[in-house]
Amino acid sequence: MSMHALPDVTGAVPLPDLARERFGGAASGSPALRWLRRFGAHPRMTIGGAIIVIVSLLALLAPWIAQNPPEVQNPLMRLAPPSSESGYWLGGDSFGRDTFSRLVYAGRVSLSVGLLSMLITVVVGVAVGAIAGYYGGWADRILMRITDVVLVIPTFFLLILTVATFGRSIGLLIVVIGLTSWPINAKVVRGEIMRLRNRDYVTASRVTGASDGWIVVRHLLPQLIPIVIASATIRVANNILIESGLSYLGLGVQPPTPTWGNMVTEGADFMRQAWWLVGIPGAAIFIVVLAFNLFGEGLRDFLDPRTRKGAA
Amino acid sequence: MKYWLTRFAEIVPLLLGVSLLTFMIFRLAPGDPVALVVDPTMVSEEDRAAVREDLGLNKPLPVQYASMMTGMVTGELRSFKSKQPALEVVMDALPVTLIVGGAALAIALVVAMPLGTLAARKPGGWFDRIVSVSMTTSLAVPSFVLGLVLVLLFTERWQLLPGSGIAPIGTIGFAGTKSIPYLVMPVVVTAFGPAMIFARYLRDGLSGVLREDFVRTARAKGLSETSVFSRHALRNALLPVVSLLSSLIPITLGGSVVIEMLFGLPGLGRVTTQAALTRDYPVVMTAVLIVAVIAVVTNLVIDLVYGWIDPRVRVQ
Repeated sequence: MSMHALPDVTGAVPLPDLARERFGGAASGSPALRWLRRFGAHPRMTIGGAIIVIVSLLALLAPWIAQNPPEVQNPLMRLAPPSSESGYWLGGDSFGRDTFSRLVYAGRVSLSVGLLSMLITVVVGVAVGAIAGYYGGWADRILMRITDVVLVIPTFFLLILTVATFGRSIGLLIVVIGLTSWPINAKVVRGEIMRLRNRDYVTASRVTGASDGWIVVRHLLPQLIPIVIASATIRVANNILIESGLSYLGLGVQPPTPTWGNMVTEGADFMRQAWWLVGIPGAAIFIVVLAFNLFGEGLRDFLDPRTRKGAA
Repeated sequence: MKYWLTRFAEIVPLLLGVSLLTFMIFRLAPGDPVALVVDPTMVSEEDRAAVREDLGLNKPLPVQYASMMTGMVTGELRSFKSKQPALEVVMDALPVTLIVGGAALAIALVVAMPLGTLAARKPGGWFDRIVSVSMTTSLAVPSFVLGLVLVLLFTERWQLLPGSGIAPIGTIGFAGTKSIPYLVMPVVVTAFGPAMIFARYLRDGLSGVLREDFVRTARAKGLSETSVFSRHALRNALLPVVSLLSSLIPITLGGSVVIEMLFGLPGLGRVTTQAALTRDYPVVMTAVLIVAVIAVVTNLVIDLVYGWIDPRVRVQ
């Protein structure tokens, strides 16, 4: 196991064998072409990544893309079906607001909640996992007990308790989702650090007088970057699902601020006449979560030498 | 024997941790924590003082923690809305959640068995690919969207299944077999994700086991493919599925919140959410504790089952 070359994250990953077979012979052509081929060999990562880029752009450029402000009510467009003529491409909701512009503005909220809470997840998960894995013993036992406690309480109930205690706000939502979803990442990091901590080069570094902090930060954590990035990507997907679920229940982002979750809630009452009011935001959640999952899974295979061949 | 005892002893700190966490969140609440346990709309200054005395909010933290926990057990901690003891409210709602969750996980396993087995017979084959793609796809479907789509089709359009509640109008709570149609969609939506995850685990486990030496030996001594599969491979491949169950139980319990709100089921998730929306704090707190206790206890049971299936884990 220790013989596996660790994935080089600087970008100098060798062209996967499969790509070489598929495109015949040695890597030739311009660097750009080679990049394209490499992506072609990893369709999940490429498709996922492309969707993420498109959705992020839509969300970032929302003010320029949306023709109508998301909060403006137009009585004529009440429950209007999607059409290309009216300028309300995806129709109007029960208040006559432009569903398309609400969708792209909601993307800003959902994506930022997903990404920012993921940052908290990663920071806490890596810190807990690294300390527990590196020191072992008591620190490990105590930290893993805490991890088990957080892991065992069904996340939604913990979130509801926190919302009931502290009230509802987007900032709080980000912190709480982040603070409840780190245990799995902590366990992964802990396992990896335990595997690495007794390697010869770590011992060598220790013998030369390097501090624990230096060893962890300089020698151990950099090796975990691929795993952490892949699991963080999947975490974003999960956190977006959690946010949308909470917002659907009315415990997350509060109307009139649109998120995909509360758009589904508002649409559900009018589902019989206008199914698209549920279908459109529902599809948005599905596509974005799928994209992050695909990208994360693809990335994991791409970076893992053991599965690199079969990754496509 | 020692193994069982240590396993059992391990849940004590876990339960302690869960209750401490709940208590900590309560104590960290902004403002006067009394406002959380006494109905804020009808408190006089005396009531406040009485509660503060009751909870011992002037006393040291460990004492406060102890009196809060006893209040919960003795039923002194009451719901704002119904004035019922919070524990009673939670326990009344529990059966619905456990029935739906239990049925869903059981059905998920039953569905996953043939899927995972067929996929493992030819890893990389077309069926295997379908299972693999369906799993990635199914994980991205929010349960409330799936639920709403089912309601739209089966209730609104085809009028085959009731879309809300747990029994016909006029009956309260469970109505025996009459309740079954009401539970079909909630169970299906709950089972959807776990079924795909089970199938994937079973497939991964099986295709790994099928490459092992003892399987080759079994084949070499002339056993039929069916008997190699059922007697040798399946048993070993089920181990990861059993341990997967312990992480799926908290997830399923958590998922019950959304499902019960959507289908109007009077279960724990719905009770908790409504309590949170109306700031009925005692109920929320009690519900979180109870649900955590259930998760801890079922995890213990699964560990014991695991040790029973696979004697190797008992040795360490």
